[in-house]
Amino acid sequence: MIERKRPGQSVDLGLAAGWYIALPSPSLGVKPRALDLFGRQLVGWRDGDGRAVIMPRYCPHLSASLALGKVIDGCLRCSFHHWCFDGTGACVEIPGVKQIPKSAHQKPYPVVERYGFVWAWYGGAEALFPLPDFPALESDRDDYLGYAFANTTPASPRRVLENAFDYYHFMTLHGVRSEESLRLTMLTDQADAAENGPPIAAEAWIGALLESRNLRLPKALTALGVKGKQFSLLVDGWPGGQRLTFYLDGEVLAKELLGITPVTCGHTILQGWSLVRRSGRVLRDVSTYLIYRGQHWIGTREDLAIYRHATERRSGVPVRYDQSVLRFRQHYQKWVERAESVERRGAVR
Amino acid sequence: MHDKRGREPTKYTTTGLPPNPSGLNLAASWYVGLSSRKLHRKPRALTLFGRPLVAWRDDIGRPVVMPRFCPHMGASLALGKVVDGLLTCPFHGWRFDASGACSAIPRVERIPATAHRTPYPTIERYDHIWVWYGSAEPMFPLPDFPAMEGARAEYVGFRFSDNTSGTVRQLLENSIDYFHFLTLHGLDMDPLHFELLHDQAKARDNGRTIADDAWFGVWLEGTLKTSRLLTNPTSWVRSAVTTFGAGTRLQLLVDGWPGGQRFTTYIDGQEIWKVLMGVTPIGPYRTTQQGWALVKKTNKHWKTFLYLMLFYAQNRGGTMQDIPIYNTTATGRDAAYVRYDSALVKYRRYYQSWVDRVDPAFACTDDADAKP
Repeated sequence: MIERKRPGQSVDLGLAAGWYIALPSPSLGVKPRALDLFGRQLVGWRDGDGRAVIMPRYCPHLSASLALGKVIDGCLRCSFHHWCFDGTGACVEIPGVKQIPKSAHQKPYPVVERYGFVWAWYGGAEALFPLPDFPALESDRDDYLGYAFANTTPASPRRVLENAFDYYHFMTLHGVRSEESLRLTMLTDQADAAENGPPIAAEAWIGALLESRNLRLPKALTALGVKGKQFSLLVDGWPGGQRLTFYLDGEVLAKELLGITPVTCGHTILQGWSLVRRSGRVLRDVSTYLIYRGQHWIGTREDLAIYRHATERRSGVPVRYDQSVLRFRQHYQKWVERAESVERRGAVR
Repeated sequence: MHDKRGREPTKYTTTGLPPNPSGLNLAASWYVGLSSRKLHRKPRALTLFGRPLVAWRDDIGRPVVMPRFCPHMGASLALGKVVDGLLTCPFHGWRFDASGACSAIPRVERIPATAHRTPYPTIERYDHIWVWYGSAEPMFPLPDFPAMEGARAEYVGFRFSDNTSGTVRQLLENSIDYFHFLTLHGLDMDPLHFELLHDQAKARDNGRTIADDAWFGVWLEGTLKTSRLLTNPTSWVRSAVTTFGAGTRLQLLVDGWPGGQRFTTYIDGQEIWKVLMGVTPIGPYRTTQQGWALVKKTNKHWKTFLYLMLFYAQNRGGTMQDIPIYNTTATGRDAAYVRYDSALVKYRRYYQSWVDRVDPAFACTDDADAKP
């Protein structure tokens, strides 16, 4: 953990350009609130139309925190000298001053509100691709029983995201047993990931399919009536999040949308939605839901324990079965570099 | 002069103008060390200027403030005792006099030349021990404040003390930033006149003159817009608390030195209150605002008491608005100055010139809670 710094000190997290979860929509009300995100000090508020705005926290005048301000007539008003900022971050009024200085502008982050979260784009003033679709939370919502989850970890966003591509850990850490070892295939065609949702911008997309045959389920589960021989996991996503579909014997069992909130160095929140497919039979759905939720809870604890004690500094010694993780890291790194180049051009926020 | 309508184009630039520096950024000056009542015969650990210090009194009761750790093996002298006017380290009995010199080491005849802790200049006044920071000798005497001395009988008052993670300069520049009285504190004054003082004679009511280059003064006056209790109760209460219901013409005189300020307020030309403000810089982003608030006695006891209550409400209410700003303001970045900030820019330059006067041998580093 890094030492707590004085307000105003930004930390470079080496993040990939992408869409990240800023906060759950209901957490952003009428009052502006201080938001630590991307290692920066930001303020979140809603303009006159209720649109979420995320921009740097400190007033360009004398650096007071705009989180102490008020939203008046759709503009965020600094409490110190009543400078007012609109939803585009432009200073629109300075009491006692006619001509507004050019530097009186807070560059807002591109924001989209969807799936019950406020998403913010990191990596330049313009999003390089739209936030990917996830039909299970929108058009197909009625087909699923869902719950939102949120976990805090000191791990970097990359560690959280590469976990799905590290197929070997499903066997070693999570104890998935099968007669043959799991097989992971990196996908090259987005058509193979259609179950997760419509295609994502090609450059941003990465996907994999994890399969097992002759699965041996733990006795606890078979006793509960869970049957299954073949398990597969379809994962695809963009540099800041993932869509997952879990299959049992070729049938969709559940889906997940995983988003990341990079708070600061050593502080990441992984959050999103788990959705269990309805079969139409209530009793069966409830038991599947509970079993799924239980294994998700246990699996997350197992991952979090590893994250909590892992170091982020070592690069690691890759072996044969780490191909897919290395592929993911390459892809991620490409978007880290894109973020770096645009952020550098866009100067200091 | 400076009304809300702003008739001239704004002049601003972010280059060449003082930013908001990070860290302690402390000016050479007098600061409030601790309350006299907290320092008796026993030495006491003290953190000031981000440094671990020890305060004690010699045999004639003079306060001494010096680095806390014994030059021998680094034991804390705050655990020691004062014996025959000498601070005695508990570990090996080394003794230090009020000049910080080691005057005796048991069983050792020759005292090493390095066995010395340089004390800070101190002065005891207003029931507090003030400490000079920035050089071996003070560059100017601690300014006086007659309302706490010769004229004490004419006033009644209260002490205030507020901790903040704001910087020392932030606390001090707040009274120069007159525009925030209108916005943050909601004082609706029209017309409003603010000026930088150039002649100390105009600040005579605050006390005797201060060394010229260490002095900074401003004058603010305005007429409060009156509102009716029934139509705008908040505004009515605010102006009643501000002016004690004694009038509408408000005048505020502020002057001071790089580490403190004196205030006098008049309503309709009548002096009604005074404040002496000092600062305790504990370390970077650990600052205490120290104040002595005084209300001028009137001819009726009940009226004096009412004024005192109203001033207490005004002082505490205003501080409750200022402190959250201090605590959350970012440092280390440029400011976008506008027309009404010209005095603030001058103040920041003046303050910084006193930061620059700090003798490098006495300057503190920013590693705040530096363990020895």
